[in-house]
Amino acid sequence: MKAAPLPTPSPCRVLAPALDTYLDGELSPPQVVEVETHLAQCSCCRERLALDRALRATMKNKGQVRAPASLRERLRVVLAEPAPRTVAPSLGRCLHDSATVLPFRRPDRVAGAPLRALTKAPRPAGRLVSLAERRSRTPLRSRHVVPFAVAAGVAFAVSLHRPAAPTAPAVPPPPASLHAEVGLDGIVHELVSLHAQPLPPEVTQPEEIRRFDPFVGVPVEPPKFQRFGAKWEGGRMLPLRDSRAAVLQYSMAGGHRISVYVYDPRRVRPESSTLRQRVIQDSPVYVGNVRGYNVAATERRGVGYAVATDLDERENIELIAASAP
Amino acid sequence: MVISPPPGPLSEAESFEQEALAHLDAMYSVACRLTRSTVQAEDLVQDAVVKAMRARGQFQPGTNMKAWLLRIVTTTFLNQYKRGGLERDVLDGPDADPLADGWMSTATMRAMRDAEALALQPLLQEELQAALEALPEEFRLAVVLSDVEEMSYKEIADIMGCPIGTVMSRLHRGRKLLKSALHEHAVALGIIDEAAEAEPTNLEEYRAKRRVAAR
Repeated sequence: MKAAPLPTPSPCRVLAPALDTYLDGELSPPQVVEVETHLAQCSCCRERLALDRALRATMKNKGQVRAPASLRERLRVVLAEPAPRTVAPSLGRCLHDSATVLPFRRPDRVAGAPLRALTKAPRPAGRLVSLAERRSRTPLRSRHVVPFAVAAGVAFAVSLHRPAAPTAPAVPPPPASLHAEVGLDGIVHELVSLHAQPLPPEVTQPEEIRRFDPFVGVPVEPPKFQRFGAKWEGGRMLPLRDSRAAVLQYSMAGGHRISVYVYDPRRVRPESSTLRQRVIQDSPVYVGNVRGYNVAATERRGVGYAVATDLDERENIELIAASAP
Repeated sequence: MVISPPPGPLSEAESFEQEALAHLDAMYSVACRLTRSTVQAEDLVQDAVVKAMRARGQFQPGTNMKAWLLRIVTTTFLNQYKRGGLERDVLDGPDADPLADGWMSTATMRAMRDAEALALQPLLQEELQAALEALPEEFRLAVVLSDVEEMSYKEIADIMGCPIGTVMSRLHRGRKLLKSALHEHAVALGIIDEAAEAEPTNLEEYRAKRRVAAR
């Protein structure tokens, strides 16, 4: 005896998976006709389609996130650097496996128009030209772009009138590879030493401090501490192993002093045996007490900041948050 | 006489950078979904952008830059967080029974959406984020690329490095899981009347039972 024929699956059952593809606009015209014919007859599938549409609309509405301004600024700083680097050490290792990045061979449907600009852009005439161009362009870019990144409060006119960076021969060439030989402990001990026994400042005009940029390797922007009643005293450079860091000095009523250390965090290992890690505004901040002075250190947008004061920890954290807006 | 050079046309690198940064929001949106953390998403996007700038020679002008960038975001994420790639997750994923179907009644489906806003019920909108985050990675990525970034199946296949058929099945399963998670929330939130749900929602099952009962 023949087995009973299998029940014919309902058209809904057959077409339900196709509804997704239908909404995605990936069905062939005959399939579209088939689905729409069924939809016209089946309220259940129409309801399913309405729910799928609602789900997608919500997803699109909720899913599109604007990149925060901080990320754009961070990228400007990173991309303005001659040698790109990553702020996140944990992600650093995948930067080198560009072998996984494969070209697409498909013709473009979306970005055709802007690409014309790319292909039409004239290329520099030769290697020498492009090198010279890079040399002249890089400091220009970092003078104009980086101030925005580091202190949004600085007016554009100010950055345009900033004194020119020292000429190329005076700038130490950046090392090919940076070895973070100093830990945070080393930084804060040097900072506290200078804070305890301050040396006279090398510059006293806040705008002159920008001349330190090429030596420190990161933009040095004097933090604005006016709202804390702190008065700018001056700044100087300090050796930091094979490079330099900038120290900015402030004074406050009541004899309090603030020393801010601005350094290139690539040269500093983000670890410490004496400081505690806290998270302030989504960034790790290291706080502690070194030889009687409260210290706090953090990295914002590729620039390292450390403060030493005789204020309390909370005030220190406020200062460090203000240093790195 | 020294003439300072006019602000000439952008260099090749600068044009490329400018065009790549035009897709920053898309990269960040996808990175947020992948990492489920805004902090990690920023790091991921930064790495991907730096990587893209280095690998820009490999980009073929005339192809879709957004898809190319999203592929870099994805591979960077996979290399960083998922040494073994996506496939392992699919095999172990909560999809052991591909036939399990979130077949809902018409009334239930209607109750889950907001007819006026042509979107989900506001309460379920709030739950969508959690439901999406609970999806296995490869489903989440496929759904986000399709529904948020509106990429084609082919583009998603290129980004995820898998055949189009796999994209379709990931999308289908991902959306099914999403809907059943939202359905559970809807019941828990009282949007759907549980009594109404007592009636069989799986038509095939219901018919099969009827057939068995009729013998």
